[in-house]
Amino acid sequence: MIVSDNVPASRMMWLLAGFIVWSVAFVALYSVLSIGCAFGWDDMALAGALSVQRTVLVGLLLVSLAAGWWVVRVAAKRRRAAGGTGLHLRPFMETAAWMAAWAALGSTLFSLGPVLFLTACN
Amino acid sequence: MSETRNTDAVRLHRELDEIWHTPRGLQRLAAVNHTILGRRFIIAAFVFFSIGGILSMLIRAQLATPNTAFVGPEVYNQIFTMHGTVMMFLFAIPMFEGFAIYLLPKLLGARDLAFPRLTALGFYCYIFGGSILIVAMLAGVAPDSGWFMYTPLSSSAYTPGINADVWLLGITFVEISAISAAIEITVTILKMRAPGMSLDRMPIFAWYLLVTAGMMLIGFPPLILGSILLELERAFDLPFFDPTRGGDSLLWQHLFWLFGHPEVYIIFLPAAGAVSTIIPVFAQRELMGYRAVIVAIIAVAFLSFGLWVHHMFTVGIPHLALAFFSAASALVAIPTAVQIFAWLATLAHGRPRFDVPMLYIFGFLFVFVLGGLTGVMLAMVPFNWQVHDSYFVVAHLHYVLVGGFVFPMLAAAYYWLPHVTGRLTMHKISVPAFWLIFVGFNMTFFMMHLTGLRGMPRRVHTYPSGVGWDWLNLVSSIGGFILTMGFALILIDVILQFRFGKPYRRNPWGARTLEWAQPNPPPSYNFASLPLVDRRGDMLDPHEIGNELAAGNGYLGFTRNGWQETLGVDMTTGRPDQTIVLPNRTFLPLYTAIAIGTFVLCLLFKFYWLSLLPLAITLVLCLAWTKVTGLRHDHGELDIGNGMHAPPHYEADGPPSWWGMVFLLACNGTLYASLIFAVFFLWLVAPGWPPAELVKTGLVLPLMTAIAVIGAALLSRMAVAANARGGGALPLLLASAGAHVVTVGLLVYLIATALPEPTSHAYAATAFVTLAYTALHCALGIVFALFGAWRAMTGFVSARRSLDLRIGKLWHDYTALTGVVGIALILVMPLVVAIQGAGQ
Repeated sequence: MIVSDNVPASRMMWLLAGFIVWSVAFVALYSVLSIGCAFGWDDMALAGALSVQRTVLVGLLLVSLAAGWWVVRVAAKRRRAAGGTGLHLRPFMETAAWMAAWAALGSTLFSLGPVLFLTACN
Repeated sequence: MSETRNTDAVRLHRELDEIWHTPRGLQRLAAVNHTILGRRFIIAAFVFFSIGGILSMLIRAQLATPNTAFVGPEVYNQIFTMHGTVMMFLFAIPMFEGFAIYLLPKLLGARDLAFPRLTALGFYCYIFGGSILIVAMLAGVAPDSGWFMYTPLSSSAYTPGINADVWLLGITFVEISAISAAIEITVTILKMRAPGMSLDRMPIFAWYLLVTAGMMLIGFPPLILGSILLELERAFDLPFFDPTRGGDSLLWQHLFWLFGHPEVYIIFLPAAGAVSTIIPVFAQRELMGYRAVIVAIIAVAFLSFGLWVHHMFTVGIPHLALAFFSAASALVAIPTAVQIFAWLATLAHGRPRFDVPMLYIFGFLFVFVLGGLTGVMLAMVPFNWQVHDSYFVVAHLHYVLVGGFVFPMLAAAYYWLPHVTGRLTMHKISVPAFWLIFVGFNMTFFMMHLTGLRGMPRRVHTYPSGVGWDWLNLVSSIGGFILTMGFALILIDVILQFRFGKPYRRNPWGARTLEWAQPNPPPSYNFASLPLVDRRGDMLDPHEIGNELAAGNGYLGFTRNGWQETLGVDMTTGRPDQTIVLPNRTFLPLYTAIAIGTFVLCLLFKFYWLSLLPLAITLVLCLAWTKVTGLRHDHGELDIGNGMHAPPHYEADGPPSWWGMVFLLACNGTLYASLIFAVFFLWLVAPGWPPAELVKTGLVLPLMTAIAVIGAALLSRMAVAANARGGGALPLLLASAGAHVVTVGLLVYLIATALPEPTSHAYAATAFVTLAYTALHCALGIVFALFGAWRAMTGFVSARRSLDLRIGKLWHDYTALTGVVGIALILVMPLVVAIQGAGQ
């Protein structure tokens, strides 16, 4: 019978990995923003004009981008390792996962990037 | 086991039909066949669509001219609430479910869905839940707080009758149908494809349905939780949404729109799946950018969960948070556009031919793109503030929902109706019907953009003359009646097709998907034998495959023991790994739905103690479902034809029911996560915190509870391990049940002694619900453990046949995990609340 190579079901998760990182980042930043505003972090100066709130949010954004970038790197590596073209399962899944990882990284920067310049709690 | 095999084609068809068919008469109520139930879902959804349409006519009659006295504000509130509720919950979602239920097994090369009896239960829950709403409307006590049921308007202080209860209980009842369909669709797509149909060979429609079903599993629980909390507030005065006692009405908005915005995409994606299937057929070339489209729908699925606050831009959320949601709202246009460009490119690179489905595809593209553009406008916060709650939003949502669902579904109806009827469309009426709908729709709703920009608010039962809204409303109303005429023509057209359409044998459109490899109308067993798929599932030759399968040359081209057999495959590769034996028709889903319906009615009429009786009956009936499942001895590898073998699913590693429980628990976990979100949201945002009185448990009692619930899970795991070694699982299962009993006892004691009065403050109410959640799961854990013990005693369990125990193990593990989180939450919250108190 003609079937593709045996691939564990867990590998399907790579298709979702990038956007799972985006989801976690989105929830984390929204939650931390709410907590910070409730506890007045925005009024606590850390260094000069830099508030605790801004520091935490930007730090989280950088961590999120780093995690998203890691997924892109892994997806690219897996794609290269899979090799080949056409409709074989592994290149298909790996390429789709790589594309999704890039889309998710861009989404993270675009949707959460405003922490770099907007006022936090007004 | 003796096997009776027959490969003679004619006899094979007769024997298969004998096993799979559903007799006429009362036996039809016992039907579990997906073809029958899919048709029923579609017909019922269309009936509800007609009801919703009549309500919209009443709205337009009322608003056609200023100062109309056609209906008063009380009745008008019920009409617009029911219009939205019926269209969203009783038409759109069930219509998609109906399509999926009817088509999926045929599209994937299977003989039925993964859980046929669950399909039937879902159908009856849908019908009964919908009927409760319609009967309430006829009785004049329909919900009247808007389809989104915002608190405090829907709270008992402002809606003291049963109107809001009808919505909360009726819709939650219907949601059972949605969740069961989502699990059904997910498991069927992942486990029940034709041999060889690896993920990369799935037809694009299956990808759309898989993503949609996954979204439903995550998207619906917040609404179910919100409905439960609001009903608890209305029935027992637990103040989750009452700002005078630590609650917050915004919590409802968050929970509702956490469901409500993904819901828009849950409606759109299946319709887009139909478009992605139909366009390549008429363009006569495969879909351009198959892989990019898959990535796009995954992106849409995730991003759609990051948009919900754009329904709440005016409630006073910090600008930075608004920016997150505004950006995500604009961003979702990109993967949507990827799909639209893929469709246009497919048409541009193909040799398009015209037919009725393509007319509706054109209508879809025109209307939906306009709706998408106003969506991007509404994603921008300043513009959103200007038109919030105005008719501009009404125009936008109708362009998106009618454009994104109704037009493609009409295309789908004209495309697949020959599959249902075995007859071809009469074109004479369908073309003028389209133009009536297209012109009527744009007349009705394009005007509303202008009415909204001129400041007309939504949900008003009338308006004064001379403020510039008169002629726009009149044109909208005329357009609405033209639109209705178009739908009436479609109904006539469908009836004519059933009655006078020209019969055909197979594949009238020249499609390249598996459902057209069947004779039409389809036989009860779908395929006489199951296909081997060696290329993408939308690039097949149905005629050639159809003849081969009808001759019995595929897999399972024989009957065995009178079993309803189909194949289960490895999720990613499509390699057959089990022979799935499906249950036959039964009245149990009907009886179970009646019992659940009685429970719902008891709650509605506030017979709370009496409601325990139908609840107990429901539990007994659910246990009765297992009477015909399972095997009393090991079968080993079974012949599946073409020299291959696969064990019965009871002996396989990952059978559908195991995966069904995994997805059910994922859905349940989302509900629990929403509850934890509610706790923290109230703590951070709600007024009236910190509460005057906190939980006083000490450490010993919570630790004992945690140990007991973890112990129950560990004992269950040990039972599975002992069974795998051929040892005795029975005492371990009984001990697991015992540990659950202890946990329930400790939790009841904690609730009774350590919690402040739950009606005193939202903090106490959420603590009560958190502990009650775990207690309920432990109570069901007792049932699972005892059921496993009973199955072990009666010979249904062996080292190979451990499915009952493994499903129970999943439940016990989940209960332990959520139980520990819940107990930790109870311990941590007083500390967190104290920090908040010190901060203030």
